[in-house]
Amino acid sequence: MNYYFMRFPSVLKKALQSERIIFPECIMIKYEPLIAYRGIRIIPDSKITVTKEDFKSQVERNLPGTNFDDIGNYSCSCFMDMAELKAAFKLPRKNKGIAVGLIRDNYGPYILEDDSSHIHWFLYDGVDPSSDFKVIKDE
Amino acid sequence: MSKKWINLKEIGMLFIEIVLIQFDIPLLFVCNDSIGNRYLVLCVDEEYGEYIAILAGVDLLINMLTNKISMDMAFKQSKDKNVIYISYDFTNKCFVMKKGKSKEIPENYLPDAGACFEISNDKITKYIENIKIYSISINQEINIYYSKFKFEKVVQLTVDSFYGHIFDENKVIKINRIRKISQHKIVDNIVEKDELENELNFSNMNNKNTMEGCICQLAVY
Repeated sequence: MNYYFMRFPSVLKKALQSERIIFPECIMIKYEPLIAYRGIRIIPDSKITVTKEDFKSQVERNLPGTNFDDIGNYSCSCFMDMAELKAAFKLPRKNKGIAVGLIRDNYGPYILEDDSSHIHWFLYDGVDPSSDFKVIKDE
Repeated sequence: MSKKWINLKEIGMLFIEIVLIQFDIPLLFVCNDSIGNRYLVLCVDEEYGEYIAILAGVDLLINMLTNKISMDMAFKQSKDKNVIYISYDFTNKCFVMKKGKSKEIPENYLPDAGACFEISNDKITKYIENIKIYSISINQEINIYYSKFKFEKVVQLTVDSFYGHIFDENKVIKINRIRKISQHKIVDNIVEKDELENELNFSNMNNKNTMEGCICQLAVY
């Protein structure tokens, strides 16, 4: 398994190797492509397409308040049900967009959260899924 | 399982109970403090660590989650009529807060006027059912399951007063405090009656050795 951990970005790799976080048994490593939706940041007149940056985890972005013991913060959140993402458009943070695309196993494993369509996608180091995604909704 | 969110000097550690709306990061969620208060929290700007939070009662949360009141109205109807403005102090690398009046929250800090929650899935349905247990009445018998606790045990208690909530839909794990127990039955002796009656505080057992797999929390006062 340690060899497998080497495939992930440095911060996730270190957390796995030190057992700060542990992949659950339900993690999907080999799977068929899934259609999923990802919330991204759109900046009118400058950034209106999907880029590799849109798939960074909360930990990689090093946002204030990030809990480094929470496995969910090391993943890229996607949804199988777009309605769960659309609700965010009613909230104050602006410049939001929704991209739809394919979650593929060559980009990384995923965990499907219980009782919702929320997917935690753990991208391998250096991969760029942006070519498999396109913006379908923005504000 | 509740997850640590941030520590505020005035309130202490806040734990995320449920994420209600997630975008690329959690935007609307419910937190608990260590004494069982619930806070409805909204991300205003994640890059600068700006949030607003209100003290939220069960009725307010249920009304918002079942679309009886809009999300902006929920923030204006704080239990104590206050709002907490949370921001990140990049110099001292900590979160700080200040209080204001919930009726005076600027519009650009709130969800769209009149917009309802409108998400419906099993996660939300189960959460609503679970927080309803908060209002359990006096002398009802409750079962407290210690599954995945230090030992695999079941404890049945009849309490004289009960104040609590369950963070997840599964088994009740954590007892914060028990003030008075009129009857109890312990299946498999793991906790002595005396210990329970002495207001044993289990909250310090929240560590990897004893709380591994902990999925719920129950507070009994």
